[in-house]
This record gives sequence, structure tokens and C-alpha cells, in this order.
Amino acid sequence: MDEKALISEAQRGELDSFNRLVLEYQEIVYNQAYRMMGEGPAADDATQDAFISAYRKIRSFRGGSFRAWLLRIVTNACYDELRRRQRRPTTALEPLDNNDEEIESPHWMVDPNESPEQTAERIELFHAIQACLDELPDDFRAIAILVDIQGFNYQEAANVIGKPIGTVKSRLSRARMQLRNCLQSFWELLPSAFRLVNEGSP
Amino acid sequence: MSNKISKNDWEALSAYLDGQLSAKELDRLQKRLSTNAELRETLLELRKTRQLMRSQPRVKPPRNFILSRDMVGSRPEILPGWFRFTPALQFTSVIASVLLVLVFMGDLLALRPASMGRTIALDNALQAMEMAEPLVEMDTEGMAIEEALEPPPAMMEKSILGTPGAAEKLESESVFGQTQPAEKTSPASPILAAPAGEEMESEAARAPDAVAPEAPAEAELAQTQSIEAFPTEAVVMLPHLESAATEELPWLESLLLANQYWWRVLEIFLVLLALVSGLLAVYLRRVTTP
Repeated sequence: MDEKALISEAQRGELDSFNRLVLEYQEIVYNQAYRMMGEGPAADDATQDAFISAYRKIRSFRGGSFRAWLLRIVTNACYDELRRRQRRPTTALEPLDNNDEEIESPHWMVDPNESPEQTAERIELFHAIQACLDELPDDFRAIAILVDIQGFNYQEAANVIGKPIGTVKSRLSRARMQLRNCLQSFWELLPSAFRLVNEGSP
Repeated sequence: MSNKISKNDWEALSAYLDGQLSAKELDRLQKRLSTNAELRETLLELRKTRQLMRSQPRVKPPRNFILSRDMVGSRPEILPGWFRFTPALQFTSVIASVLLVLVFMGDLLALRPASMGRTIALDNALQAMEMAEPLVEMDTEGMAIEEALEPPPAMMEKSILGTPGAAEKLESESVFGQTQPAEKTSPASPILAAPAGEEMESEAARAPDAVAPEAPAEAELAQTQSIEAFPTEAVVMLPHLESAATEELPWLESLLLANQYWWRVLEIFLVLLALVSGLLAVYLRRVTTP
């Protein structure tokens, strides 16, 4: 069944149809929440709240990109949570499990084709980038995640944040400038493979 | 280095990496890149940063986020039917705001000069009467003017309530008397002196002529100015100029002044309409946007 039909059924109250959409989009929604919040438990809560809110409000969906609509909901949920906290979440050096103990290598980061050293390097880079993302203002962070991590184009990102493309352009350039400055402090710590990134065409 | 690269340069370099520059912008940037080593180095670092970000793996969700009936209730929220009027409300708000600006500008251009003229008219009329006052005092019959101008409360009451003929005459002489009831009933206003008695009218008109030949010329000049600027008070104050005032009154000004009350009502209505429709549209947009 196509997405449009699933949305129509969900608008009529078919929860199963909506749950099929949840399964389709939960990874991208969770990633947005994870990068916005900087930690797993908060991302989990934001994702769940976003899907609940999306189901309740699905009758206000008037067409267009359902993915952008969902990401708008989860991004706004993250803004609300961050505002409620009135402080930046501290970034753990390592991910925490349910007992608040550090997980050396989260399951989703383990690649059987890599050596332990390579995995460690990847985790180090992951946390360096997250630490730099956490230093960005919320609006800039959302755009950097949408375009540079989620791979959205400018128009889709503009739809998500509800602003013109010019705003996306401006915020993204400033976010990248701050990220570059931040990552410079991590540069020597970064894996050699990432320090020697080939310069391809844009 | 970033201090030497402007914000516009950063924006151009960032858009360049994403292929978001127009042909003209691209051409301009490429020319600058060919001559500016610092810009090239910045582009290199920006590209590296972007590649690092894009090399990041997707985080795997720790669980599925499927919903149960307990979590969401039976059905999605039913939006109120009138949420469809949001665009109409936005349009109404904009139109009301534009109309408000136009009405307000019209008010300023058409009515304010009249109000200013009204003040000048009062000043001129009072000056003329002050000039005439010492001369009038020389005449014993002229005392009636002073008494009429500053009547004791009892006399005032008598003049208003006890001489219905005079009050009626005031109403008939006053062009805009019905729109200015407060001025008519104020005991401190010299305007009220006019209908205090027929004696005043005859004596005021006669006294300057009899005692001081220079006074009428000055008083007449001031009266003429006051008539041109705002004839209402002038007519009430000096009833013998009624016919001249009526003749010289511009019809448009007369219309505007007569409808001054309705201008105010219109302005208040437009303010309320713009505010209510605008706020309602914002509220509906917030409700319907998750």
C-alpha cells in the first residue's frame, strides 16, 4: 500500500496504517531527535512524543512531504524539551545504557568488517561531531542535522523548519563555520582516515 | 582566518558546496577563488567539515515506536470546522489594517487641520473680546456683556432653563450644536454666554460701535479668521455672524466635521477587526500546526 493511502486511512483513525508509517520513518525521526538532544533517552522520549502528536494531528496534514511534516513535529518537540530544560544537555563521552553506565561500542556502531581500532576511531569521531553540534544554537543545529547528516536538500529543510530557503542557506553556512572552528580543536584527535578526506567536487 | 572571510563569503562557499549558487554567483565566486588563496583554503576546510558530517552513520533506534490505543485514544483529533477560515481571517486582518491606515491618514489630513483651526478660532475670538472688554466697560450698558460672559451659576441656570427661547435660538444658530453637547452645558465656557439673553446680543453688537470705532475692525478681522478656521464656536459666540459663517463654510469640511463621530467609530471598528481576525488566524495556525 502506498504512503498516500496509509495517510488517508490513518486520518480515518486506522492506527495500524499509522504504525506502518511509524516503522517506515522511525529511524529518520529518531536520528533527528538524537542529534538534536545529544543523548539516547531524551531522543527516545522526543520520538515517541512526536509520533503520538503526529497521530493526533494527522487530520491537519494537507499533503506534501510526510517525511518533512514528521521531522517538523519532532524538531519542534526537541525545541520544547530543550527550552523546558533551560540548559544544554551534557554530552556523555560515551553512550549510556539503561543503568547509566557507559557503553564502549553501541550495537549500531559495531561493524564486523572493521578492526577494533577502526571502530574506536569512528566512535571518537561520532562523539566529536556530536559535541560540536551541541555547541550550536538550536536553530543552526536543526539545519546542520537536516542537510549534512540527514541529507535533505534546501527546499525540504525549509519545509521542515517552516522558513524560506534563504534562511536555510544562511543558517547552514553559519552552522558549518562554527562546526569547522569546533572540529579544528578535535582535528589532531580525529582518525587519520578522516583527516585525509579526499577533496572531491561539490 | 575566519575573521578575514566575510559572512557573505561563507554563505557563498557553503551554497557552492551544495550546488545552490546561480550561474552568475558561481561565476563570480570561481573568479574570486582563482585569485584568493585564503578563500580556497576556507573552501577546503568547509568541504572537509561537510564530508565529516556526511560520513556519519545513521543511529539505529533502540526500539520500535509503534503506537497503541492506550497511548493515543480512539481516533485522531477532529479539528474544528472553522479552522478552514484561517486564510479568510488572515485576508480580513490585512484588509482591515490597510483600511485603518487609510482612514487614519484621512483623519489626520482632513480633520486635524480643522481641529487646529478650531483652537485658533477660539483664541482669536477671545482676544477680540478681551480687546473690546475695556472699551465696553466704559459704557454702562456694556456691563451686560461681562455679566453674560461670566454669569453666576444661578443666572446661568436661569439663562439655560429659564429662557427656553434663547436655548432654542442657540440650537438653531449653532451649525454643529447637536454634535457638541458637552460644550453647550459647560458653565465655564464663554460660548454659553451667547444665549444668556437677547440683551447681550444687542448690547454686544451695539457697544463697540458706540464707544470705540477702532474695535469693530479688529474684532471683525478676528471673527472672520475664526469663521474661516472653525466657524462653529464663532457662530455660537457671535451670533450676528451666523449668515457669513454658513456661507463661507466649505462643504467638505462641514461634512467631515459632522461625521467626526462616525470616523472615530470606523477607526475603532477597524482596529478591533484587524486585531481579532489577526489573533484568531494566528491561534488557528498554531492549533493546526503540530
